[in-house]
Order: sequence, then C-alpha cells, then structure tokens
Amino acid sequence: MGGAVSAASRLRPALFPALPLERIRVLRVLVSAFVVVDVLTLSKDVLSLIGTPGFFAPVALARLLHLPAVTAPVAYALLTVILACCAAGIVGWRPRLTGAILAISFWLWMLYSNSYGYVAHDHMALLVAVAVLPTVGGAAGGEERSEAAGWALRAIQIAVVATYFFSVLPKIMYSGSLAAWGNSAILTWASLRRGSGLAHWMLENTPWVFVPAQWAGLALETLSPVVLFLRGRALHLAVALYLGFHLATLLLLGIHFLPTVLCWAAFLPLERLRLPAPERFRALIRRRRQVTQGS
Amino acid sequence: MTWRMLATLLCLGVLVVGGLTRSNDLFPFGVLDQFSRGVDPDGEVVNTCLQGIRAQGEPFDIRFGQRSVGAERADVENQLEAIRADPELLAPLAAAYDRSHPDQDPLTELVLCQRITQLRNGSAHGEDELVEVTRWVAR
Repeated sequence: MGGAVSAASRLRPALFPALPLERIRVLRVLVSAFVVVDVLTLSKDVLSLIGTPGFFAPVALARLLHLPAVTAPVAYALLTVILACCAAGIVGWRPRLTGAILAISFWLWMLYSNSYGYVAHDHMALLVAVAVLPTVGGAAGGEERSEAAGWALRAIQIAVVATYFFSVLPKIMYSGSLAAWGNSAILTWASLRRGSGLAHWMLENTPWVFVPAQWAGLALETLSPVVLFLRGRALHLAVALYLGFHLATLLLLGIHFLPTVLCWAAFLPLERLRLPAPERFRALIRRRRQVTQGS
Repeated sequence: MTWRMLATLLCLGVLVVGGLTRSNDLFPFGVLDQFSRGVDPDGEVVNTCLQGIRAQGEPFDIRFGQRSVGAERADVENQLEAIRADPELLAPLAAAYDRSHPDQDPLTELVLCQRITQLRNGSAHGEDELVEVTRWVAR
C-alpha cells in the first residue's frame, strides 16, 4: 500500500508538472490556426465525401454516436462552427467554451473524414490537443502555472510519442519481427508507389540507402518514449531529429504528418514567444473603433 | 486530477487494444499500422490505378484525388473487394471526374486497374504489368 502511495506521489509530478498557463494560450492559438488549415486542405475530403454515401463505413465511435452518412448541410454547418471557434481560439475569446465546441465539432469532422475507407494515422495527437486544451482554466499571461496546464501539455506529448511508439507493435505483428521489417523493401515499395522525383532518383542510384534508413526509422520509433524525459538542449535536439524524419518522408514520399508535427510544439517553451495577449487584441480593436468613430 | 489520470489510462488502453487487435475501427486510437507490412525484397509492388475511356477512344490514365475523381487511392484500395463485387460503386468517381473536366466529353467507361512491378533484391526489375480489376460502363 505504502509503496503504491509513494509510487503515485512520484508519478504525479511526472504526469502533472506545474507548467505555465501562457504556454497553453500560445498552443491554443497555434492549434486553432492549424485546424483552419486542416479542415480547408488535409481533411477537406469531408465535403467531397457528400457525393459518395455508398462508401460510408463508419468507425466504432461514429457507430456509437449513430452518425448517418455526411450530407451537405451537416458538412457545411460543421465547417462553419469549426472556423468560428478557431477564430475565437486565435483571439482568445471565451477560450474554454469555444474550445469545447471546437473539440466536439472537429472530432465529428474527423470521424467523417475517416469513415469512408481510409483511416488516417497522423491526427491522433491533434485530436487529443483540441480535447484537452479547453480543460485548462485560469487567466493566461504573467507567470502563473498550474497542474491542469501540465496535464494538458503532458497528454499531448504522450499522444505525440505514442504515434511513433505504437507503430512498432504492428510492424512486429505484420512482418514477423522488427528485423524482418528493417530488412524488407518497404521504402522501395513506398517509393515506387508514391515516390517523388528524388525518391525515384534514389531507386536508380542509391538503393542501398533504404535498408539503413528503415533501421534508423525503427530506432526513432522504438526510443520515442525517451523524449518524454529529456530536458533543455537534449529535448530540442530530439524534436529537431523527429522533425527531420518528417521532412525526409515529405521530400521522398509526399507524406507530411503535419498534424503530428504541429503537436511537437507542446514540448517547447512556447511562453517565450510573447504573442500579443487577448487583452491587447481587444484594446487594439477598441482603439480602431474609436479612431473610425472619431473620423 | 483523478479523472485526468483515468482519461490518460483509458486512451492508452484503447490504443493497446487497437494495436493488438490490428483494428483501425478504434479511430483515433486505432492501430498505427502505416507502412507496417514489410515488403519481400523479391516480391512485387501493386499500384492501384484508374483508366478512363471516352466514346471509342484509347484508355488514358486518371489520377486519384479530390480534384480528379473525388476519392483518394487509399479509399478505393480499402474498398477494392466491394467495388469488384459491384462496379457501380465507381459511378460517383466517373461523375466527379466529368464534373472537374466540364470542357470534355463524359467518360463512357472507367477501369479500375493495378500496375504490378516485380522486385529483385529490393529493386524494380523488368517491365510493369497492367491488370484490370473491374470496369464501370456508362448506361
């Protein structure tokens, strides 16, 4: 018993470190801005899926909610609500309320986007982010810290790391062993199917790179939980390493994993960015109004 | 703080179940099986493709994607068996393609095909083979 209590008390600062509320505020701006880009580009397929109700294959959560195939009014209503809540999130207007509405509407949007056959794997951390950000209360700005902020940031960090770490399991299950995957022709296969000009050049000229690159990828994925315990320069180096991995897959295969890439921001001291505070936004708008009324 | 701890454990639990049961159904906490099937260095690479035919013309390649047929390649690949059983499922794709090419005659046929590349020692070997999966014909 005593052991369990002391383990829990030691786990608490790891899961709920008191972190700056200001970091949450900056992350909310980044996530809100990204979701705008996301629904207008990456997951815009919801709008074209209106035309293919025959392909509707709802995932478990969509079935649980009894979601019918998406229709034009539903899709455009969701899109409008998402964009409005993102705008509110960016300027910091009622962040908890608009954040909660954003979480619900964006989850529904993504459920639709993934209920027509293909299921994306790059949105897990972003969906966690929109869900946990509205759980943080308290006024941003200044030096204030809270455990609630710490948990929200930690939850996003864990989701980011899990995106890599949990991809090791299926590699073992589908390929027999990690070594079988590492020594396979998976990158050749991917390059032939969706490779860029650079990838095709490498197929012709440097095909020996692929197997070592696969092993390097495996190392990144297997060791990803270590990142949760890094601090300072080592942490920043690790973040750069993983972003470099995504840059490589982008240049070779056109795979960007941008939603996950954005969530790496949860590891960084965003409070140092010094974004204009919501009060300053509002003051600016007031002053504009006074100027236009005055003239 | 208790519910936060429980929510974290619940999500991780679903992720473990999704991974062990290889289930994509548990989105967003399903199996992260992107590129997880190791490919035999002496096996083959199958590339799903589309070809359109207008009137009596020659077949021409059609790209997948929202701006072309309104569906991504992965969507179509995951529904391959359903489409093989019912080629009419290709009709909305042909309609979307016609909508995005209003200045051209509508498609009379849409062929779902596979381009197969042989591998030897992890590199492409020989000419690609083109195989027809199924065909939608306008009525």
